[in-house]
Parts: sequence; C-alpha cells; structure tokens
Amino acid sequence: MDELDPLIHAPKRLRIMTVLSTAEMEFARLQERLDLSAPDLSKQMRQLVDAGYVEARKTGKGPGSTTWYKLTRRGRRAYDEYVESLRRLLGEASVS
Amino acid sequence: MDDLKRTLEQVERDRLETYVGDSRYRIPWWYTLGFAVAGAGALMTLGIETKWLGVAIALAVAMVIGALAGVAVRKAGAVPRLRTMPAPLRRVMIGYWVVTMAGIAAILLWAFTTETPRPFVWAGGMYFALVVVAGSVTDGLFRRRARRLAAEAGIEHG
Repeated sequence: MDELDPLIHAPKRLRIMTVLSTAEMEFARLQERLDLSAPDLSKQMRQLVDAGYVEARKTGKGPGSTTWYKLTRRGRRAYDEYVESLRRLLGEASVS
Repeated sequence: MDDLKRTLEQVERDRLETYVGDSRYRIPWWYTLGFAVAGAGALMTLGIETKWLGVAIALAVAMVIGALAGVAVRKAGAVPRLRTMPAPLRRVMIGYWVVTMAGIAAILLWAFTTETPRPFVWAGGMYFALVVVAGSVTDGLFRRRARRLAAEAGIEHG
C-alpha cells in the first residue's frame, strides 16, 4: 500500500500545495482563497518552506511589501506523487 | 476510504477554482488595450527613418508592455500556470496566441512587400484591430467556458 506524504496530507497544507500547483500566489490572495488567518497560514507556509516544497519571494519594501509563493521542483514532484498515490489507493479500494 | 475520496474531490475542486472561480486571474481588458496600443506603436516605428528615434520608441513600448504586465500580475495576486489549466480553457489561450502570432506574421509580410504608402502606419492599425478583436473574442470564450466548468463543479463563478 502506498504511503501518503504526512507533510502534504494535513488538510490545510494539502490545499495550499494544490493551489500553488496551479499558480504562483501572493500571501494575501492565498489567505483569501483558503480562508485561513494570517498566523495560521504563516505557520503552514513555514513548514512547507522548511521542507523545501515551497519557495518564498519578497517583493517591494516596507509596509507595501508582499510575499509570493510557488512550488519548488521538489515540492511539485512530492505533490504529484501524493495525488498519484491517492488515486492509486482509491483505485485499489474500488477493485477489492 | 471515504475520507480519501473526499480529499481527492477537494483537490480537484481547488485546482479548478484557480481558473474558474475568480475573474481577477484573467487577463484584464486594459492590458489587452495597452498591449494593442503599444504593439501598434512599435510597428509604426518601423517606418521611421531616424534610427535612434525608432530604437527609443521601441524601448519605451517594451517598457510600457512590461509595466502593464507587472500591474496586472500585482493586481491579480496570482500567476496561474498554463500547464495545469483545464483543457477547454487552455485551448482558448493557445488559440489566441496562434491567431495573433499568425496575424502579426501576415501583417509584417504584407507591410514589407506592399507598394502602399506608409505601410507600417497601416500595419500598426491592423495590429491594433487584430489584438482588440482577438482579445475580446478570447475573453468572451474564456468566460463562457469557465462559467460552464464552474457550474459543472458547483463552484461559485467570480
């Protein structure tokens, strides 16, 4: 049976990874999309950045600065493998 | 197993929502207009005899197009990927690029071979019309298809 990456499998982080698999996105827009508080999103993002799955890029200076996030190559591979494993597990379950 | 099924359904929904759930991620009308004006201006400079002036105008046009793209991206707060875009929407975007690129090639070919006076001024006008018409048609098609996909997936279309 396939192992699901525990870092991605957490519901909030899975949604973050899914959204970032479709677009590079700014912190505020990501927060709005996922309906998460800023501290909560920051915490999740830190874990994904530390794991090397997500890359952060700051633009601008001072109060107007924003942080953009995108999946790294490693993150994209891990995410694709996760979704593939999920599909396989569901496929195996429907066969058995 | 139901949990995994729900998880996969949420994944599919979140993926789709980037492209159909928020109109801010689409190319704004003013970008298309700015792109048309700037591109037409660049084509018209091909007719200018004074080389340095032509180069200066072309650089200014490139900066305007770059700035417009920057504003559009900052306003949207997202840069959607073409690769993960649902196929019906991706076909619309690819169709737009193919039509405009082929149109530009045809306009340039005409401008370099015609005997008409001031061919690049005409070419600029044709380019403007091409981009505005193709942009409007693309936007309309994109909206319709996005609305349909959103309705099928039960996503609110923004």
